[in-house]
Amino acid sequence: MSNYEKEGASVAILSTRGVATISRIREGGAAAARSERFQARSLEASDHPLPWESELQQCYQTLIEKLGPAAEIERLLLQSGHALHRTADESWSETRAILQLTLTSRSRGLRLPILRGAAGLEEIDLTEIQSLQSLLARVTAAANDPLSEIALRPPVSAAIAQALAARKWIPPGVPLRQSTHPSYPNDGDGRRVRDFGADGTKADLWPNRFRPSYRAPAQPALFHVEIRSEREPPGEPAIAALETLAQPRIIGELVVLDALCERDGSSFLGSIEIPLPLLRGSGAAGKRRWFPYGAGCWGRTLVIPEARIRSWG
Amino acid sequence: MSAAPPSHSFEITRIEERWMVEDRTPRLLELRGERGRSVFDDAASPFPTLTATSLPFQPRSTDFGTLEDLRFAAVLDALPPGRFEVLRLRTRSAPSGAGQTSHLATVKTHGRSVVLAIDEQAVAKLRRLTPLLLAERGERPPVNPHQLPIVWNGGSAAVLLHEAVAHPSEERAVPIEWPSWLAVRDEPGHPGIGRMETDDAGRTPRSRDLLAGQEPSAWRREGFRNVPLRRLTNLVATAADAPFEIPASHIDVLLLGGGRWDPITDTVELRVTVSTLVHGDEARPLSPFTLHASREDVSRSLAGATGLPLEYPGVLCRAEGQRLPVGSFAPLLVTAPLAR
Repeated sequence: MSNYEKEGASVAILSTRGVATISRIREGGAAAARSERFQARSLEASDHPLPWESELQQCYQTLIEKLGPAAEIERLLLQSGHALHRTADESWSETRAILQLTLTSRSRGLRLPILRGAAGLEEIDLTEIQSLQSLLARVTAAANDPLSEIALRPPVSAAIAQALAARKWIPPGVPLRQSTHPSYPNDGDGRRVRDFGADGTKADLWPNRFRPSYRAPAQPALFHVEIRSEREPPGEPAIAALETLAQPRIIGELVVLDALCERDGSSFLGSIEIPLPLLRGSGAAGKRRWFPYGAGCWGRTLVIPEARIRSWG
Repeated sequence: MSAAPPSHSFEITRIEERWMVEDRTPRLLELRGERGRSVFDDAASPFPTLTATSLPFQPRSTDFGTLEDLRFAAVLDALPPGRFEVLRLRTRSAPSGAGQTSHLATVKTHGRSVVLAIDEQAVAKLRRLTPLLLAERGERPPVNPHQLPIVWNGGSAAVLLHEAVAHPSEERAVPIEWPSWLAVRDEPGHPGIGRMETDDAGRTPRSRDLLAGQEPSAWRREGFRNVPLRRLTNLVATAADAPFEIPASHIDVLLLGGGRWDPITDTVELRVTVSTLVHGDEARPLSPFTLHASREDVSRSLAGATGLPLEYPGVLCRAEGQRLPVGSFAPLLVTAPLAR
């Protein structure tokens, strides 16, 4: 039997259907798994202080100003919270800020979902979001490059890492690793998350379990997963994939994704196919950044020597 | 109409159970219970504010009685041999002093599912629907299903209209023209799994004409953490003096596995899970397929309807990440090929 308890507090601003609301949530819950049965129940919320609401409002206003009145925002959730977790043997706490933003271009029938997370609101790069919105608004058709070198920026390489981890089986030779994060050292059972090479493994061998909520049973998962490369890329490719338009798919030996791309300061939409073996031959550059996809993902700029890119939009 | 719900205070209890029934032996795999209170202030500055607090849930002190348990046990007992997953959802909400309960179960097998209200009719309904759940798995459609007329049986047209009419009305999309013989209304008082006498903001919701561009009247939410949104309750489609002729070659749609409307592309997507291809007197079961069409094409394709609205076995709508039961009623309806 395993027991788990969580208590926490969060503040969020949600803007959807053109209306913004603030939610202040104090919540406690307990979960127990015994044999094949899982049970979860709410507890009386404790008096945890709510996160600093004015900081959240300031961040929201700054983002709205950066995006400008022309931005088409389908949905925006900005959330800041902290939680205390307990199991029979461990207790640990976490703070997290999340930005979920969906930008659209109705004239082109496009939707760009953006997800960012960090231990604090101040770590979320709003200037990058502004830049993505500007590029989405300026999308043009680009010439097709059947086989090109491409730089996958950190949000894209992290999304590919998550797509691989979600399969619960990592093919041999794919350089995917579980890593660590200084702000989130524990898994859903309170165990330490340690570096773990995942290539050629199945979920039943993974050392840690993820619990997205007290209401869900813990499941084997790779934490803070990354596509690791020790190589320096030979140079900066002309084309870069900046943000995925939807979750990448793994089809056989291919990674297939649609992304907002940039070339010489112009933006276009690209359907990209990358053979899985080429991930091993990729070079990595720049600082690694963390994203709240699944149980966490790290991304760096990955340079893929030969990807198939088809422009559309 | 206001864009944010009116101020209210609200308490909700929800219990979700996941059962596995194998060869008539039920096992409870998951049980989730929660209670919470939320207070919504529509005059708060700078934005309307929800304050939500969890309360202790005690599995043995719920607001639900033994009659519900007996009715649910009868549903489990009525399942034939085989492997079924049953999700049971009980909700009791008490907004502003009023209260209402709902008790549903989703029965799934082989990638097909039906949603039932657990009431005195539940076992009889399940027995009627079991042949659909167990229907023979068919072949891939030999022709593009967009190029054939479709006969929407058993109230299934309500799901088509849920996506093509109701979701656009919730999001206040630009109204388009519909056949004059068709009426589509949101009827909160209609008996069905979405019936609401008091909505989740403590108000009495009203009937709305969705084809006239009116948005649903009811404020609804999944749980105490969610801000209520204007959401559909019971979609009721009716036809008056409509043409009706069943084409010799067509697809009979019997059960759907889900759908969505995309406000950016203004297109509808529907996953058909049980259907047959009909040529004259011959009928062959088809494997699941997906239909895509613009809202304009759905409207243009509506060719006729007949009879009184039939109750489709339930929709759990997941719009905006809040899962809500919606009643679905529509007459037997025919669409011309969806492809232009």
